[in-house]
Amino acid sequence: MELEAIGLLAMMYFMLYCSILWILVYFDNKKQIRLDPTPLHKPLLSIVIPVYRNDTVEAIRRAITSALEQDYPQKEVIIAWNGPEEKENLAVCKEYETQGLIKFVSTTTQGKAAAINEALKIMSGELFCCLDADSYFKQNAVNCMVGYFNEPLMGAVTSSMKVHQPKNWLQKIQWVEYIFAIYLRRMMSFMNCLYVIPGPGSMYRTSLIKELGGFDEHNLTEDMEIAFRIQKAGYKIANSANAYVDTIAPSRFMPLIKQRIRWYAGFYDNMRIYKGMVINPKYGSLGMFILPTSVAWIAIVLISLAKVISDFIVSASYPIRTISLVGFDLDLFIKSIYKSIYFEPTYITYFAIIFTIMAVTVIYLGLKVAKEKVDFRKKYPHYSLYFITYSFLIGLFWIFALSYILVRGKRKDWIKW
Amino acid sequence: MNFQNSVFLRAAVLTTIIFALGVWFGLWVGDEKVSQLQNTISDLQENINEAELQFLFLDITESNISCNYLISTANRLGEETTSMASEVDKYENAQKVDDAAFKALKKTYTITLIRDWLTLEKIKQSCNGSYTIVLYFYSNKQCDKCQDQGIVLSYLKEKLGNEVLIFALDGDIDLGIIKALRESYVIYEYPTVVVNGKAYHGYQDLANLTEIMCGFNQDLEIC
Repeated sequence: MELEAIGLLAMMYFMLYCSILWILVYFDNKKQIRLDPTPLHKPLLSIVIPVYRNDTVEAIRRAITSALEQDYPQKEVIIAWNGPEEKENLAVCKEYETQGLIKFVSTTTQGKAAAINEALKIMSGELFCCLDADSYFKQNAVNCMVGYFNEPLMGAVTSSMKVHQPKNWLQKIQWVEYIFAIYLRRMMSFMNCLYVIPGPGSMYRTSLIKELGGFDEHNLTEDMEIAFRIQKAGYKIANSANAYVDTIAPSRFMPLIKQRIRWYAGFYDNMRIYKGMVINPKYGSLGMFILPTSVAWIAIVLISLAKVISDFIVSASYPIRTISLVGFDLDLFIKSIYKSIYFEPTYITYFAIIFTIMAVTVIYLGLKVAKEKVDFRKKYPHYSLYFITYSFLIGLFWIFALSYILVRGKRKDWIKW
Repeated sequence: MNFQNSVFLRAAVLTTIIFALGVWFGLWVGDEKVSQLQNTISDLQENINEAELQFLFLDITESNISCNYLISTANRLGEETTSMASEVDKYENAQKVDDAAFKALKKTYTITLIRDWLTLEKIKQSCNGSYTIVLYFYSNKQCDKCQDQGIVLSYLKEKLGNEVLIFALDGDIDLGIIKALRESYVIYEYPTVVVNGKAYHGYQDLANLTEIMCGFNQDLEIC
């Protein structure tokens, strides 16, 4: 058998294994998915909202209101102003401050991590929550997360993020992506192998974060870095499938690319920093399964993209080649197109069907975990766009991220995020 | 940890079962297709046998009204050959796994093709057939221009129909007769095109091939 066929089969086995594993974890924990532990006590909670001058006034107000409206007995809201001052946004924050509703800190150092670290200095909560200004809590999100801290070794609890009212195709794809992430994070929580604490809505044990020295201000993805550090210190990270946070997803391609370059390059950086955790039995499923397979997935995405593109070029080039060699002849042209799309069922057909079934199952389970209606008919543009373009987009994002890693050299602050 | 280990193990068992089913399915459809191709080849073999028998009979009885009949048989054989060749070619391109059954089939196919060619060559000589016989030697391993040559030849076949009979032979096939043909036509590179017994080495573009073929038969539509 050719090397290419063996490689393809190995890839299929791996992809199939991962899909089946996540489906099994769902059915093993079906009854616990919606359950959050009841808090033994409700300690003072600090809600930190880092605000940047690019955030809109409307978004800032919505985030602050959603934080203030959380039905939680003891809480404080801290606005952490980040970067150079800007009149209008600052006025909104000050307005809340004068009403005595929030505390206000500011730092000129750029970056969200610096802003949260500044807030850490003044906060008095035993637990704290972060909320980006482009996100807001839904219902009583914080109440769902507090109970997890009954466990002394619980370091952080992640929320379940959804895309706020997706309008265009890019946001619709991200809507499905986030649903899938909610499912995956909840399953990873059961296996104790979460390695990302998404910025908006997640809750931390304040003493632990202070002990660990706060957030890394030079990391591209400080929320991922802190997750690694928490796990390395022997603490756990859980996820609540009831704590919903809505976030505004990028609606245009360039901001999305920029966001993903930051995420993926951040993943690369953190994998380098914490490479000692990869294939290390001390870190359980995280070290032995999630981290190595995440790297394998990136390789698969890139290889598949290269294969699809090269196959497409070969197929498309046949009719074009025909014209260039013998001139245009309608009969022959139609025949050559037929030849280039000729279909013969092989084992690849079988796996394509299996993967389609798996993907639909996972999305279906994801919708159930995320408490969304299963309305494949109404939301069909979301799903079809997701299925058609997602793997291409991920491949593309990785190509951008890897190019960025290659060209940035030692200048880590090359792009202003 | 117990639960986790068991999940990993159960996932592995399930994956292996579904995966094995996929591989089995692949082998099964492959076998089905190969046996379908084998039937096509057997049909052609029967027709070649029949043609050879007709040839022998008419040769012995020295009947002179026979040539029309033989030429029509030759035309039919030519059409069947073209359709069989295109079936085998498509399957070869679509199939990613190079299995043993197909390799064996390819040998039978090549032998059939050569018998077919020889029969048609005999008919052409005895009956002064006007059709042009083209042997096209290609390689799937190292041949940048073979695809282009294939395109040009397909175009000519399309244009000329029964006026040209093309036999595409895989030069890499491990068969004594292929070696003998390679030596006989001194084939040292691919593609090589043999038109009415004369070998032309390297890629021949449409203009070249048209000129070569018109050199043998001025009455062709392309001349």
